[in-house]
Amino acid sequence: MAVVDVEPLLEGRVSASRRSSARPRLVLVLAVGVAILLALPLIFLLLEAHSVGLAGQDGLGRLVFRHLTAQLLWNTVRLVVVVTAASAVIGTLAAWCVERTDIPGRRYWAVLVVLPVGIPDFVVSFGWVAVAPAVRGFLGAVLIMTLATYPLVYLPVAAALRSSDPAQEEVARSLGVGRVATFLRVTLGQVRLAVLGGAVLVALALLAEYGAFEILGYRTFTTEIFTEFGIGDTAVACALSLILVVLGFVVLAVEFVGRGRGRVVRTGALAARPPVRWRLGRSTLPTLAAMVLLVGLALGVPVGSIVYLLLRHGNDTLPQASILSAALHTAGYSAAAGVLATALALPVALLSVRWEGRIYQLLERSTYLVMAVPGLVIALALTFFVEHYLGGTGYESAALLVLAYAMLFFPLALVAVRTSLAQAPVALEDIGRSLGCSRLAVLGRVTLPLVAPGLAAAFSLVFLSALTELTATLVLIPSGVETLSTQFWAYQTDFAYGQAAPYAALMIAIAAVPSFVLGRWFDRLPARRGVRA
Amino acid sequence: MNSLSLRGVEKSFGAQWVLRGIDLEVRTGSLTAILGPSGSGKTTLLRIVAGFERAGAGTITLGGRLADGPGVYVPSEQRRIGYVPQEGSLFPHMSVAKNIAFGLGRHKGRSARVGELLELVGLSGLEARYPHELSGGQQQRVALARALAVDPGVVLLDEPFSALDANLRASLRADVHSVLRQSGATVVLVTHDQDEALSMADRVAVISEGAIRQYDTPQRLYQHPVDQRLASFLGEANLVEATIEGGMATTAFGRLAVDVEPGGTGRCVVLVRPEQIVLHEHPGADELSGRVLDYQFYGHDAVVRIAPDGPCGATTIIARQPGSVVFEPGTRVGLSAAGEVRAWAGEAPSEAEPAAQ
Repeated sequence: MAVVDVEPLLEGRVSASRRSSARPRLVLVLAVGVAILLALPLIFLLLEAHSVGLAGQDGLGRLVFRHLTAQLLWNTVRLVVVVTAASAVIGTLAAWCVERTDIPGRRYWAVLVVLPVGIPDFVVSFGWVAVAPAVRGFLGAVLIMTLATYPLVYLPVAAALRSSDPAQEEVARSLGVGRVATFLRVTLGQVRLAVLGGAVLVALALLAEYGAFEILGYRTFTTEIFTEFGIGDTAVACALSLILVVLGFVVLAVEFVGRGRGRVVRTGALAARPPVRWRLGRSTLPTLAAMVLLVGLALGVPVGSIVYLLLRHGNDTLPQASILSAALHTAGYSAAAGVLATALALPVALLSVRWEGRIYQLLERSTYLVMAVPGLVIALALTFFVEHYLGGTGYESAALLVLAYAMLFFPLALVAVRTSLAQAPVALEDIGRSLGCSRLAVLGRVTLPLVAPGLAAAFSLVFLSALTELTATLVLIPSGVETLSTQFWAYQTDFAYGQAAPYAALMIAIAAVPSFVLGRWFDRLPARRGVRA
Repeated sequence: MNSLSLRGVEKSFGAQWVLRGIDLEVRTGSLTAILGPSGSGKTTLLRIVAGFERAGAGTITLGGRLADGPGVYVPSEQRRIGYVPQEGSLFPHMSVAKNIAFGLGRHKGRSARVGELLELVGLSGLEARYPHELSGGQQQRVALARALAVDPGVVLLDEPFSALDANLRASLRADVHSVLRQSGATVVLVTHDQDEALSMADRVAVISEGAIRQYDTPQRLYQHPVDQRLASFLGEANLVEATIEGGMATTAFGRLAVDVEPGGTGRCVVLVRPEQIVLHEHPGADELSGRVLDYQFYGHDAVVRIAPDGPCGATTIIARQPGSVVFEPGTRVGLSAAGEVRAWAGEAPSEAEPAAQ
């Protein structure tokens, strides 16, 4: 009976999470539009490199294969490898401690551990360098960037742990597998995709970081590109940017291979029960100490350092009137970017989660590439398009800056949105339709409420990141306006630490509020609803 | 009047045929079960009726209106169907009341209707609960109430009891049956459970390998299956050799009345159900005898498997006996049979081939 073997699989696929029939026309059109929008910086880069390669006396090849490039490549690659590994380990362990152990005060840890994601990397470096000038070079960069990026792993892993089926761990234990082996073989398996997704974000963020490396005196591709752009050498900047984009491709290829065919599917009843937390017992104190150390280094040192600067330079740091307007502008641009990025992420995530097809997956994957393009290049690409195709209309406008933010942080929104979409089963939408609701009504009444936490997470991630954005902002800021980061950077560059400190402090404060609210909200959600969307 | 009518419905996923030419008429107010092993295409059939999938060919008519056919496709939300999936699939972010009210418009009688339905499914007072605060059976009741709320033309149940434990399943089955009867709804139930199909349905369609083998009342399906495979699939069957003469079959058990005389004379196969067989502790001389292989006690009755001494067309005979008499394995017993039997012309299968499942 050939039919018997195959059809359950087909039925399972159709009803569990995907649609097989009904072509996603509207979603496809929207997703392709988003992908094209996000590809614009790359198109600009290629056009520019092409014209430079033809016009300049030196070919692109000579620019690419010089000694300096090898040095930059070595600097960039070793940093990415070491920091990504460290962030993956620390982020995963921290998530497991908070979500799956009875660590005292876990609600507060859940917030504290995430907070560093809101602190700009260049502020962390600034804080460390201000009190410990010895933190420089490779080791300094590893320390600072690990502390600044591990929350990118923590957030998706914690979400995956909250929604995974605790019975799998219980089954493993019942099969005679010990606690540690269960963690390694089952729990890690459940969160594998989340770890991988987070690690890719870390690696790509490192490739694009500028401010922190500038402060630490560590030369990477981005700092060199910025310098070359500063002195007007577009050819070199373009050549280096191309290598950077290739590195981004490599990271994505590693992820694609690592992702494999495995999918975390939740079988069984929709009603979940909370996981049984591991009793730490005697390990409570060491675990607490480790958490204190982590939060102390990632949050305590930079915050303490800035508070110290504020106190020490108390007289010079009377809040200027401009700080309020800078704060309002920053918050406004960031919120708009959060909404825009989340809206752009929805069709792409829908397509890749709900419909089978390599093309759809490639489409989704292509949008991640933007993460490997430095904010500087995105900003210049938008400038290029505005000047060449819109006659300069919109240059230095708030809309252009918001668009740049949304493109820059699109991958963060996509990760959060697709994770949540994957957990809103199609069966529920089918029922909604069978009860007389149109596709649109089902979207509003069933799908969106279920994915709302994911959408909120997407908005928050983009909002928090945009608050701290420096490089693209330096290029695209509307004239006569300062954001917190540009004003901070101006003071910092002049070694006016005392005057820079209040801006740094305010950036941390603004980022902390939504992090705190978000952390508490996520924490209550599963208890009330049983299923986390 | 038929609420649902399928004509020549076909469906394939890629090169894999799932449904091949399904014809089915469901009478208004009746409960029809679609019974088949997993992979027989029954869930796909239900999803096509619900409008979640499109039929590859053929037509589907719901309440006299063409819902799926050449150039016509009515989306789910306009089909007036009530769908209850295997897991219930309640909306996890809504209370019980909101789940039930999901398909109702914002009219005044809404909360009264919700209360009415909750009472119908026996869950009054649980309006404010969330799905994760309900047991599996309660979730299924809410899912049923939610489906009935919109006063559907047809209610579709997709293995609604399979996720529940046996005790709960039996009682919930009875409750759901009476709720559906009270509501007067037309119901199509998909299941792989014979007891469920035979006990709940007015008519049962047996489906395998994407085609309907027989569509009949439960009694006729059990007593007069169209072929030997179906006989073995539905309940336990003893297929024994016989010769037919004048409406009577001569078998190893003696002479038995035949329901319909098969064409031709000579060798035949007849279906003797286990409960038609009577066992005696002391076999008579001219009677078929055998040795008890094993004895399974179920309380209300017991099933005895016997290896017959003489040739009768089957290597093992299954007999269902009252639970009051115990037959130890190894005991010698005499076998006779009573009642009408089903007969087919031809040879018995060489070995009682177990049909699907």
